[in-house]
Amino acid sequence: MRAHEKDEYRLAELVELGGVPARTVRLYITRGLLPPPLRAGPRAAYGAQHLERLEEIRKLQAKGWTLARIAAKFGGEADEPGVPQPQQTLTYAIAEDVMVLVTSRGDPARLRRISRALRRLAIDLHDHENQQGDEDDDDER
Amino acid sequence: MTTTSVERATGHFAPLKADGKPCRLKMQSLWLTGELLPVGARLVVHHEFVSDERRAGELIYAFPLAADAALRRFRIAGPRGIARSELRPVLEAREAYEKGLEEGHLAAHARVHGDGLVNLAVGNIKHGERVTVRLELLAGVEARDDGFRFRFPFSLPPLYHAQARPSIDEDGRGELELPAEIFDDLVMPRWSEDARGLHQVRFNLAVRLGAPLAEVSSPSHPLRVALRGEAEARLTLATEADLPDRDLVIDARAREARPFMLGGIDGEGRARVAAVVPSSQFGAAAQGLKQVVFLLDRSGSMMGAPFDQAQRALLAALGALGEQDRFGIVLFDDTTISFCNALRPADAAARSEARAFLEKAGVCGGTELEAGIEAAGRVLGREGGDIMLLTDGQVMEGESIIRRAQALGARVHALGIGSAARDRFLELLARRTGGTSRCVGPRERVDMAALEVFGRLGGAIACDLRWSIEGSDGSEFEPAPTSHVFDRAPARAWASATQADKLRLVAKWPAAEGERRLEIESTIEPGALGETLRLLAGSRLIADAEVDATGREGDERLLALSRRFGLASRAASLVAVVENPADQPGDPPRTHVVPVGLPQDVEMGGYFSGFMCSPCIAYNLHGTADGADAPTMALHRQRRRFFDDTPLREFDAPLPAAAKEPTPDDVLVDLAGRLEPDGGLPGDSDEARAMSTAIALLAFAEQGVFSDHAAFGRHVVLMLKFLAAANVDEELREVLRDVERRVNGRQGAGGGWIERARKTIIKGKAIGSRQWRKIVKALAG
Repeated sequence: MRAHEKDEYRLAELVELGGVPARTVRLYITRGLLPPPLRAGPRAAYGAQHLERLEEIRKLQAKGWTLARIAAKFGGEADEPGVPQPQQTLTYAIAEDVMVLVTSRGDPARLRRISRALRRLAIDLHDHENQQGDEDDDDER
Repeated sequence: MTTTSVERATGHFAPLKADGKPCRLKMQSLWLTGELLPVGARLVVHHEFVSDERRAGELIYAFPLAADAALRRFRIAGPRGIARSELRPVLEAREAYEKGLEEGHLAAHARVHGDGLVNLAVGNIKHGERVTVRLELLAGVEARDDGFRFRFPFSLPPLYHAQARPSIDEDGRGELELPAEIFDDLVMPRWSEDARGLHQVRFNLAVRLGAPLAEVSSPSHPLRVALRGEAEARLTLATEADLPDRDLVIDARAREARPFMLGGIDGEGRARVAAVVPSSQFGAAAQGLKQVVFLLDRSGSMMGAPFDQAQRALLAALGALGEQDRFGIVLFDDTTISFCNALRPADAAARSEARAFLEKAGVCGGTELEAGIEAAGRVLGREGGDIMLLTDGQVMEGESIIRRAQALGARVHALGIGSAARDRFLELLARRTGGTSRCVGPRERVDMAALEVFGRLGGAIACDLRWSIEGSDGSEFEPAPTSHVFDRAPARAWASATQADKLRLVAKWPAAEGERRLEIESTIEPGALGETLRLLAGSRLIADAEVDATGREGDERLLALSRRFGLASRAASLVAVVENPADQPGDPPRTHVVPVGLPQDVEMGGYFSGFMCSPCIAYNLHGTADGADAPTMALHRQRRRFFDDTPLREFDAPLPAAAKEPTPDDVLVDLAGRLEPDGGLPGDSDEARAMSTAIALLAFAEQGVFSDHAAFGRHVVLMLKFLAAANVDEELREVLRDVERRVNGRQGAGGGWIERARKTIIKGKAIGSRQWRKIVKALAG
């Protein structure tokens, strides 16, 4: 949390301190990411909460959050109520009757290990089926 | 069209307010007017904005600049007054706009960002107001030997950037957020899969070819053409209005390919000329040895017909390589895969392996073109050569890609497939590396265009052109005129000189028989044409300067160029404030982004979910844990690292081919792709090969394809060469001579050869003696 010296800021000051263009501030207000100005009209003013929110938005963006998701967190943007964010899943067809879904958390090394384990499993299942088939053939004979 | 009928036709406007109710602030229509010349276009785009919102609103419309385009000025008009734009440095213009908004005035700001992307912001549109912005701009055209092609982007596709964050909402609208540290305040639109309900587009354009017109057509829109004399036409949309889901493409063709020059007096009182000289004026197409790397974009956005056609075109291009030619292939998405580490001779084994390599390639991933160009450069090695790039070019930070390609020293010939939004980038990429570019829509024959571009590889028809002006002093050539001429890519020159009634443009170039010279003369007449030529030269100079403009010095040079020509650039924006004394400062306007439709034939899933899909990966709408990061376009890279140890074929299965009856062009592309290094078609024996090749030649002839054809000319030459050297008995030799005579004499041999070629060569059925007798009979008949 950063310390702010003033209670009220003009748009130009908010833009300078917040490090975003005025148009972005307006877009954020329209989308519900920022609250409306403290005081409307000719002498519109913004408060410390606007600066703090801008900082929070920046942090969330750095973590990869989209504006829609940030707006949902802050309760704005009613045209996108609680839209779940897309999640990467990896689908492995291990055998004709076995499908494995893996949720990726973006760690390639771990995913590689999972991939190898699944490959072993696929080979095991395949070998087992072949073995079973051979046994069935023997039974028929 | 009246407002009522627009609303009736389109229903509700797409964007919603925070309370979920439809937003009544919108861009209602976009109307393109202006003049198309063989050296460029001078255009006016009329935007109409209306508001039924209680509070004042601001609309941001994002659009791409066409090739070599630049904004000149705009005029904003509303019930509170009219204002004309001023050209100011970017930050000054932004401040002026913000100040205007703060004071309650109607204001507009047009800012050009990197990649030729423009944000037009119109602020403080009040309840019940109708505001129009008439934006004047210049744009380039794709010059051809016998005319030109004009492509204007009515749509904007999503573009690839590794750090961009794509998302899709529950209404199916796509959004692309860009990192502010790279793109500043550039706002991209939200994409609707269905363009109905968005703004409507119309056009009314004059074509002035400067030579008798043979044809004016559009592969994109229904046209109404009114001829005005032999060389001019007025084009309007045949329907009342259309959807903004595809680009406007106009082709103008002259009755014959001949040099011409336009001239006039510009606003500074100087004589201005611009000339286009068909490549055929410089001699026959070069048949030099080819050293080429085919660089094929297989990113998700190429999914479907573009990739299938590009793949087939490359197979056909392999067929046109001679035994002495050397080649490589690089496929790129967000990784690159090379067919070989260095150029390989185009022998039978290499071609066969290359075909197998291409046939198993599928599409997926992002568009890391820079990595692709670097990989192609490595394959070319120190000897250098040509890169033939097939891509939709849907990538951002194109300027740095161009600088990288220039540094590699390879010549890039580009075939753009898809949206006109990237014509600017591809034209610059090709021009700055000494190559040529050609652009086609997704519903056109990509394979035929690719073969035409292939014909330009291996050497220029004329090199080291020197241009001069006779009849006036103080002549200047700016921008730099064409120095190397390639097959079917005309030479172009822009020049200015002190006032004269008549100017003569002279081009000289070295040739085997000594220096050659070409002259074109034009009268210089007063009128608007001279100033149009000056502005077109300026817009081309700015497009080039934007590639070079890095750092403060680069920005200053760009700003100086903008000021000199009065044209906007990345360093200078256009701003206008309608200062009405009755306006009172009020609440800040609510800001909305104008939604756009995805271009026709572009799949939403190709960008916003499926663009990261492979047969094994899918993004779904299961919720994530609160702390999980949202995907970026670069996340796809992880898939590659993840599957590093996995055989390529498991994840790059070719897309299933659409079951359809092949067209004659399909058959020709297929035949061309089967040519062996000696120019013959495959077969079990010399006789079988000769017979197949003869049938193929007659199939080409049936379609009017001979040795001078743009796409298949080289294939025909190679096949004729093979037949002439074929080791066959005298009876068959006589038939082959007949075939050669017919093809050389530009005659066919009746119909049915396409079908015969399909049934025998393509289906792999051997030609029996009975069938051959029938063929001989058909030839005799």
